[in-house]
Amino acid sequence: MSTIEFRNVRKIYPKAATAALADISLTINRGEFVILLGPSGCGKTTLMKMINRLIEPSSGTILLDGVDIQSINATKLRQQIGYVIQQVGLFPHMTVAENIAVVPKLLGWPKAKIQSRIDELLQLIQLDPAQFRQRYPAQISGGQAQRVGLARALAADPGVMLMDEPFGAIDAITRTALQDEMLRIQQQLQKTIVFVTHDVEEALRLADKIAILHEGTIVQYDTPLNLLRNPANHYVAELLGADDLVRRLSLIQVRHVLQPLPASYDSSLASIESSRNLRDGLNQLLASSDEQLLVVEHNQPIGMLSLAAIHAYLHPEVIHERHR
Amino acid sequence: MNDIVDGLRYLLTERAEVWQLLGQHVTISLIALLIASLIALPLGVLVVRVGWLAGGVMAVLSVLYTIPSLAMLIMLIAVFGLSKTTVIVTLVIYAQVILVRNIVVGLKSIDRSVLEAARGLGMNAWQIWWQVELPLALPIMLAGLRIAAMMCIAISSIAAMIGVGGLGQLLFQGITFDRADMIWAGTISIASLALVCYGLLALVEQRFSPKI
Repeated sequence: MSTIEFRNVRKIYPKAATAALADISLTINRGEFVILLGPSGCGKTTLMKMINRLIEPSSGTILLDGVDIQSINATKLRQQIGYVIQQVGLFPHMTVAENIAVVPKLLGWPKAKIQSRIDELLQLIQLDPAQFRQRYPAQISGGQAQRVGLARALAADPGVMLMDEPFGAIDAITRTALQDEMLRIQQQLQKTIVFVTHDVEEALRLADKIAILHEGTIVQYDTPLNLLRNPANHYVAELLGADDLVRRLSLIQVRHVLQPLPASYDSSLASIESSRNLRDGLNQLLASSDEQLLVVEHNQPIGMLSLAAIHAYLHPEVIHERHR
Repeated sequence: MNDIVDGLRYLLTERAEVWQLLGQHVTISLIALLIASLIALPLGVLVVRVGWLAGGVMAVLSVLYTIPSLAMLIMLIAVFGLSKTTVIVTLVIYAQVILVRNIVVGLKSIDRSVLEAARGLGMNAWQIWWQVELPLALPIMLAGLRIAAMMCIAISSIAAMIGVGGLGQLLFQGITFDRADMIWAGTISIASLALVCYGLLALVEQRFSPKI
């Protein structure tokens, strides 16, 4: 887990009329899942690749846990940072196990430790070690290959993970499964993740925070909830589709808008999993005769969901007035 | 048919001479291949790394390749005389086109994402070369080596004309003395040498090909 801080970072490519990135300052906190979101050409990938020095800034500094990354040897730096790309880039002449072992080998881990780490990671990504260890990349599916790419990036237990549209080339069903897996793995490992995508739904689904980029600047940097509630400008609102209320509901998990559990409550109320979205919640509320739902996580009630809460979420300004 | 049998008989009865010629033939070809590879590898890598070099280098090599071998030998005799050096230099020049082209194709065939991953995971340039680029490009490079070896064996036969030995000598002496058995002996031995080399190198290639 590590903190990443951009300070006045610029990137100007020679011969380009405008800066690819203009004066970016951004702090990514330890253990946060941050998504860089924007259309192609907005500079999101450039911004991410500066963190492991695949691209060097024209000016400004980037700090990793307070240390200027320019002072760290580039290959040493990259060995501490997990890296996953859209095309996966597994080494075709190496088995799945050998692919995962690449960074631990570079770091000179003892053999036994590498072998047990391979099994541990294959289990984490839910591929049976006995079945997959000795396979070559050509012998596994695209979804499996991306899981292995994830395992390879996690191999040396890096504090930071950089993910460049990792699920972009994968069919919709597998993509959803991989996103779920990503959330599960992140809950387990609590890495600092910087994830680039142009897929709004994916961003809203996965991120703790989203940085929205437009023409080389960060337009807004906030939680998905706040972005939808208070888009900074028309561009953000348009990009996120914030005007379409029903769509917004389907993108927000129930746990983000739940009300605290009162001291005493009716345990016979209908319940909903905290990871379901507000649209499902609304549906269930409208279908039932009760005014509230019990929100549960691991079969334990953790809060309540009411029509009023959903309404308040959609109209934050009303809450503000009421509070005054 | 009788001539072929005579040719085989010649190979048996004159085996001491044939072994010596075979030794000369193989030595010249091997030395040429070795030198050619040592030049082609850095040249090929350079061509891949420095984009603007590619066009020029490949054009020069292709032009050299179009010169008929006899003409090349005669031109080089002017420089190196009637010596093995002349033959070896000729072979090295011809082999360059084949070897460099296959090295370039081999290296360029590597998926860019694989190289990006290698860099992103923290391999340095040297590790990327040994662990990723070389093993992935090797099958195509070896295919080039196999073709170059065949070319060396073939042109070495002609080189016997300038008196450096090799199995080609059987051909030229056979023609001079009007001895069909010698011509056949030369043909059979050169063809056999080529086939054996081809097979051996194909095995090596297979050994280094991806296991899929």
